[in-house]
Amino acid sequence: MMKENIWQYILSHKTTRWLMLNLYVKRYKKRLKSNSNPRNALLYEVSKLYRKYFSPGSKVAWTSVYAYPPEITYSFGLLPFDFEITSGIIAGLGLGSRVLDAATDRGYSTDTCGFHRGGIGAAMEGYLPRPLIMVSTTNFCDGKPKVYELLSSYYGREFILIDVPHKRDVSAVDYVSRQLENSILRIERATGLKFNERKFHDHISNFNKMTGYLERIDELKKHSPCPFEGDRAYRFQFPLFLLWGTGTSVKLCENLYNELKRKIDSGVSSRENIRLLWMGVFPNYKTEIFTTLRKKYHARIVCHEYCHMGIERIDEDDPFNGLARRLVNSWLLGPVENRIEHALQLVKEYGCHGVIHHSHWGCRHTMGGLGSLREAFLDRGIPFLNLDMDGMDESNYFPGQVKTRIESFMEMFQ
Amino acid sequence: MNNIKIGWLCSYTPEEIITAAGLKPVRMLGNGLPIQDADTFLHSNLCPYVRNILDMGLQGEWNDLQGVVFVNSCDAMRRLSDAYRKYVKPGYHHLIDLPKINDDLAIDYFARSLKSFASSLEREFNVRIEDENLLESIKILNKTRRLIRELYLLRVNNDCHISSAELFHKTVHFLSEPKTDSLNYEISQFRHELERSTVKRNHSKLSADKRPNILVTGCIISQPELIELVEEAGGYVPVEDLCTSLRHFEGCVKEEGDPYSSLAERYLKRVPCARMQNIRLKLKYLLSLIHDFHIDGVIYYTIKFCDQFLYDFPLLKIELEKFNIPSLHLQGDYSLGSLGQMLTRLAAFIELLNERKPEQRL
Repeated sequence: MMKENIWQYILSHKTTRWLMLNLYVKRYKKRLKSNSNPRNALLYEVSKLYRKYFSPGSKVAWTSVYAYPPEITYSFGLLPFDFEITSGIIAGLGLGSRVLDAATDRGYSTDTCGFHRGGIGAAMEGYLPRPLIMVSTTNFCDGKPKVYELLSSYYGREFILIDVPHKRDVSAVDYVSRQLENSILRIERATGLKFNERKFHDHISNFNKMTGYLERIDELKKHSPCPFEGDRAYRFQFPLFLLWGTGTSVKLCENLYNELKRKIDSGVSSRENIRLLWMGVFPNYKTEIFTTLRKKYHARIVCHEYCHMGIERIDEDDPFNGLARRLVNSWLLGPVENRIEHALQLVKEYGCHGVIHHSHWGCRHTMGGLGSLREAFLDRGIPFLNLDMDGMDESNYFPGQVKTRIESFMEMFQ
Repeated sequence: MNNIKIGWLCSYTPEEIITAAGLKPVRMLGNGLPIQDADTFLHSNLCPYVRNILDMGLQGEWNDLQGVVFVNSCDAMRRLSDAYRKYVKPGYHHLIDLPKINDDLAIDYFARSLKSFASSLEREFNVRIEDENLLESIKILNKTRRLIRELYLLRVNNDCHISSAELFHKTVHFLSEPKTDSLNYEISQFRHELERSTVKRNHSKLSADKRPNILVTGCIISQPELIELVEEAGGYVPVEDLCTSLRHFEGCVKEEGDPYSSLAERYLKRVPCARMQNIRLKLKYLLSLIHDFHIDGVIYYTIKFCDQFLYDFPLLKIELEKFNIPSLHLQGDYSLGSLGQMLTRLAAFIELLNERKPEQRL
């Protein structure tokens, strides 16, 4: 409680927040100097980005970085800020219940997604940077655009919503592509900033280079034992969304690729008995799930479905169409069979022995397809475990229960 | 119209197209009974209406339908569409892709979605949907919309001989039936009957019968029990803003030009449900109802796990407070059993409204 109060004080005051962000940047710089691994490099870059959000004169666009292309946002000189990712970071700091309570006290139902409610609470507690504009899309869930709309009213800023259909066809791609192009004019009008086309092409080119490395990293992850497993890959790739399109993202992925390659070439020594696919978000607070799997059962999460989101090269001669395609082609849109087909392909490609699905409280679009998912795996003789938990709210995590379920699941592999 | 019945669930389903195909559109409403089998296929943290519909399907209660049309209304409805197709196996299944926005691009895209829906009906049932048939259906449904609005307007200044709950029940019946000239005749007759029996209400202070006027708004209510409960607690419900009552009927389709574009425009620009992006328009509409129907208080009803409506309430409450309109949020699970617990809260709310001085009212 004491620790929580200190954090609350730090985050809600400009000066202390600024000092804290500077301390974090210094801390990660120091850590990177002593151990220059890609994870430390990413933390350093992301901490610098968060410091920039709060720097005087910074121009922040609230956006869903996995949905509305950061390649566009950066081309305006706007910093893309994602409230869902930030909710996860806040939960990681141990402040999850504080921001969730802040939203609940203002009437937001505890039945809704914690990441969304956490964003509302954090905004209203004054923890978050003020936006110049808000831009998002309708994929993948209903809650996200709703929260943007409410907070645009709270901050008095324009909100641009890109509607992404649930069909994968040419007309859907064209519809989204035209909306993306229109959003350029709308952002220009609302912010007075100019879209820099040359930078845009550079950002698209950077994204393609980064994607090239991510594809090669994925190939390395198929190696047994997996060189980049558990929550590590997820915690690398999720914050990486914030940097998509930047030269930094290319460098980070290049370094990661080289490190994993070295690791494999030098012979990864750890034991790996069971390879698992994880579906749904990871919890953003400390749990024993991954250490239990790793140490007790030598089971490794070798693949996470979200690590494959949007990894699709963009046609540099027709970038808006390519970006639209990236959005429309997501397996999280459309019928549940799209998600099942993608997951089965991952199981096959990564040689997974089983699947763990996290039904995050309030995430209707993922938990809604649970019955069909379970059936698809079990029909093929692939062990499947569903964990009803909460990625954001630690109070909905019951370690004893989860441990028992994981133990029973692991027994299936003995 | 032949006897092929097509089920529909969301208020954004263009009944006009089903009718123009010579098929019978039937609104699928739940029975509110406890869920038996659906939880095997859908997570229990999903909308209870959606789970109820699947449950009824699994028990064969929708066997008289030759097909079902879904709309991409929300996460729960998309998952119902998947589960229904897979486990209930209706003869015909179609999901209409409904945008959340309503600019020209969205209207154009939605018009194409509607054309593709019409084509799928033509293929499946070996029928032709000519523009003139569609225009005819548009005219019939527009007439239904105007008649229902007139029914509600009767209650602006009058007391009807039937209760609010009975009137709501009747509206749900009109909504669920295929729209035909004979249904419109039935509604007209009902309207005349009501008109003959109305009594002038006094809105200068408290209503003549001392009952405060309450607007019930929110997500789906299929049974009149909640309205009955409000009346039992001492309130009067002259109007509801629900997808099973007035909101469903608001706004007509243009009767000229390309019918698909006109339909797309009406459905995207009608009074929005919480799933659309436009909370300000929603608020404006609520304030117009509050003004027109002399509303003293608002009951905001949601069913559990209906995120879109749950997110709207805190902001609407603040905005209503600016106009001195008290509001109460009630949450149910779409079953009849959950209503009883609400009576105490309702009675306290109505007592609060009764204690307010006339000058405190809008």
